[in-house]
Amino acid sequence: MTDSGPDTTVRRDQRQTALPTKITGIVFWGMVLVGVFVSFVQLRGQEHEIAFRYNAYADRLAYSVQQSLAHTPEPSAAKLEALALQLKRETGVAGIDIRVGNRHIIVGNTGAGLEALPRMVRYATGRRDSQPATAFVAIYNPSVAHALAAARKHVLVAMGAIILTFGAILQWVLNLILSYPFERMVEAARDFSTGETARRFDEARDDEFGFLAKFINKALDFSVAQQQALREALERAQRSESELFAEKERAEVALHSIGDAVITTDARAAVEFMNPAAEALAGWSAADAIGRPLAEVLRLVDESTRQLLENPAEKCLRSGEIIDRMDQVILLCPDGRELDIAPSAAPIHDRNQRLVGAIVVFHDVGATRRMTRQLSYLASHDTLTGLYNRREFEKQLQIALDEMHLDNHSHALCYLDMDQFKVVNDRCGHAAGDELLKRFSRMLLGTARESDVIARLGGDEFCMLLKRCDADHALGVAQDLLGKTRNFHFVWQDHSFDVGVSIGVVAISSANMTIPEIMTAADTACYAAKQAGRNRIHKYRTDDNALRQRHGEIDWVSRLGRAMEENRLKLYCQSAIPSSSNTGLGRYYEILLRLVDESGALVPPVTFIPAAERYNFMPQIDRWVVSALLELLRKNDGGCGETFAINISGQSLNDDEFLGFVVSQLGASGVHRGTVCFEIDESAAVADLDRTAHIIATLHDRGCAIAVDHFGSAMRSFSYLKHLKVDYLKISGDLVRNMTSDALYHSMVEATNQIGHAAGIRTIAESAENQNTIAALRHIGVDYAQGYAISDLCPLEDILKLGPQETALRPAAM
Amino acid sequence: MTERTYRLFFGSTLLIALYFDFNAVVLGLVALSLFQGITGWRLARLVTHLLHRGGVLPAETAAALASPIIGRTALTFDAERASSLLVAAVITLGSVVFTDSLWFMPWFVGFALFGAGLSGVCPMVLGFKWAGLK
Repeated sequence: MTDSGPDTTVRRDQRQTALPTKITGIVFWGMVLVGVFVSFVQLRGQEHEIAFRYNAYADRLAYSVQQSLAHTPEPSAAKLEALALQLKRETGVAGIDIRVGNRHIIVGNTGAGLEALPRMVRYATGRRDSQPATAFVAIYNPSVAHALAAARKHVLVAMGAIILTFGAILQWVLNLILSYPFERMVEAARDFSTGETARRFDEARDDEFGFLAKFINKALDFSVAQQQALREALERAQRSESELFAEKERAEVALHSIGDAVITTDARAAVEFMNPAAEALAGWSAADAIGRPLAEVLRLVDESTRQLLENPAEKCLRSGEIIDRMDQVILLCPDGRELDIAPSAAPIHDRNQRLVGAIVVFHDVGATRRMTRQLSYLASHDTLTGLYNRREFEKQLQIALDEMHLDNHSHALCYLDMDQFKVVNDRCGHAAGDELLKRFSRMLLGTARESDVIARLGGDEFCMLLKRCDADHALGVAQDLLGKTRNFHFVWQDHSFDVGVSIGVVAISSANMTIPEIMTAADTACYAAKQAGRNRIHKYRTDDNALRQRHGEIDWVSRLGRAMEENRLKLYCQSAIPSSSNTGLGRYYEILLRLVDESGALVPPVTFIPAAERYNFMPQIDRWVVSALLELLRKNDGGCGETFAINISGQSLNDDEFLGFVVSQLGASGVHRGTVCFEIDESAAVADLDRTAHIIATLHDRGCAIAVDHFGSAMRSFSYLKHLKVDYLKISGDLVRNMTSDALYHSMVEATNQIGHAAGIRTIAESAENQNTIAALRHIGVDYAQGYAISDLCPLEDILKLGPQETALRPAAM
Repeated sequence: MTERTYRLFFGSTLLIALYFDFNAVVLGLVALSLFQGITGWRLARLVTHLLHRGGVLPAETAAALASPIIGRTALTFDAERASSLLVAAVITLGSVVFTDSLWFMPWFVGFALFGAGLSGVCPMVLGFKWAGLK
């Protein structure tokens, strides 16, 4: 075999004889036999002929001599010699010997090796009385045998020459008609074998070679076509093999690279393949595992029951279907490890859709499960107190409701809201508030039964589900809780707090109650307890006024949201007029919010603000007011020389993102410095002085003024005014309204005004609703007076478009 | 020297010897054939061996030269040996024993071998092989 493929050359063995030569040889043999036979036949009478001829020659010699002697009884030697020569020439004998008398004539060769054939010749001497004389003649020739042998040679050689000539001619003819076309065919075959697939045998001949050539050509055509088809099939096979190899490589690399464990089995669930991840997880090397039943390699148990589980591969092979991820499965490793895994299996089919094995994929889900459990815990528990959260509590409540369908027991729900929790938070910080919540939670847990469900709903609100408990017993539990809370003193650093709790109790007597209904009822009852003075219990009744009010408040929250979306919130303003016309003070407008309800009627804020405060909707409202005011100021290029004051709720003050919102809105609006003022309720301001001071400083940097609203309404130390750099003090309307009828209130207003002035702060008196009050305020020297006696509410847009209203202050009244 | 060449040589030599009545040569050829037939050593192979002196012999030649003479069974008897023996016998019969009646046999053998040498086909050997000889 050569480097380029199998050796297709055929070398003629030099010892082999060509066919024409063989034919010729065989014919030659036959002809030799025939020739010898012919020669034998031809030479069979040759001996007699030779002998006869010799005798004839001898007789003729004798006769000739006799005749010669008859005429010339005494011939001369010359005459005899001439006679002998003549006879020798005529007969061709080798030699002639004539003895006549004493004459002896020898002509030719009479030596050794020749045979003499004598004759005695009687002749008359011519004398009358003499007796006839005798002469002796002899011819000399090679012996008959010798002549016969020579004749045989001549015949055989001639025959041989003829045969050889014939053989040569035959060979030539055979070469012409056999060898030459055969050589041509050999050449064609050689060319074909060396790659010239277009070469064909000569079909033009009209003999057997032509006939054979046709068939061979057909065979070659078929062979070439087959070869082409095989070549194409080989190319396809090689391509497929390459692609398959590449796919196999990719698959193997992928299987070795992926983090998931992959095990393949045969149809009997015996391991066929394991990737490195599977080896690491299962604790088996591939070499040891291959061939073993998968159940032996992967021992799986249920996480909860610890019962052995059926192998997913066996399950898959039995059903022929994909086995989805199995959860709560533990793998028992040979080295004692236990791993949380989530195996899945899929069947493997061959091209004939016959099931030939299964593939099992799994990975360590321990971390995921732990995280899931943790997340599940976090999703159902309050992280601070460890109690259930609202979501889980509602789930437990639903379970209890479902159980009511079966056993008809009643339950009760207590809604708890801590009193004064905000005080602790505000006074001592969030850490103290958190500690208080934890201790309160522990107290609740100590009070509850094992079957009871306790949850922290959020903030300082808790819920207790008392299972299989009637209303009276629930009230007893609530009383017990109330008592413990009353005896509970929370001490934090140098502070001591008496914490109370308002409890709303709802009896769950019907399985047809829904969770929202129950929670709303409980919340309503709790609210009623708070409204009744806190630190008490209120049992839910369906005709409860508080319920009605609460229902209304809840309804207002959604209406507020719709109003904001539908742009039915409107900005109004009420101006505060300087008490003296020559103070050089600019105009001051307090921005007030009105809502246009669905029928187009104007709704005062007292209707919806409480609901917004209760359900933490105030930040959204405050944001809306800020955006709307700044947008109006920007559009109308208003505000130069005028101050527009926005009321900011305590919830917005505590919103970490509210300040950033205001700053960004101010930056985008481009309003003049000093145009915007923020009114902060005194209670909210002092709740967190540091926070309030930071807010005031930030707003001052943006050119905004700050006013303390309802200043003086609570008996507080005013020392905080040293820390809060406010611009206005709005004297509480409660003080101003009664100042003309009560000297104490008059003094308080006066004192408040003086305090403000002493601190360098301008004062604004609210609720100036009659002329006497206005006169008293002027007399005291309050900087601004605000009230319906001075100006009515009007839309802010009108103020901005039309300019300040001359009716802002009735000069005659001041 | 191949067997074919040997036959050609033998046949032509025999014919020449018969033509020129070189009886000694004829007898020598007879002796040669007898020698080959008895010993199995073929002149053709010996000549080949001498010509390849030191070189690589064809396997068949080397095997034949190395093969033992004595002890062969009839089935292993060489057809060439048998042919040599027959040639010797025929020539002897025709030129020594029955010179008058079988005078043509040596001539026949000579022509036959000459023709076999030319053609490469020796029916006699073929016949022996067909009869079962090696």
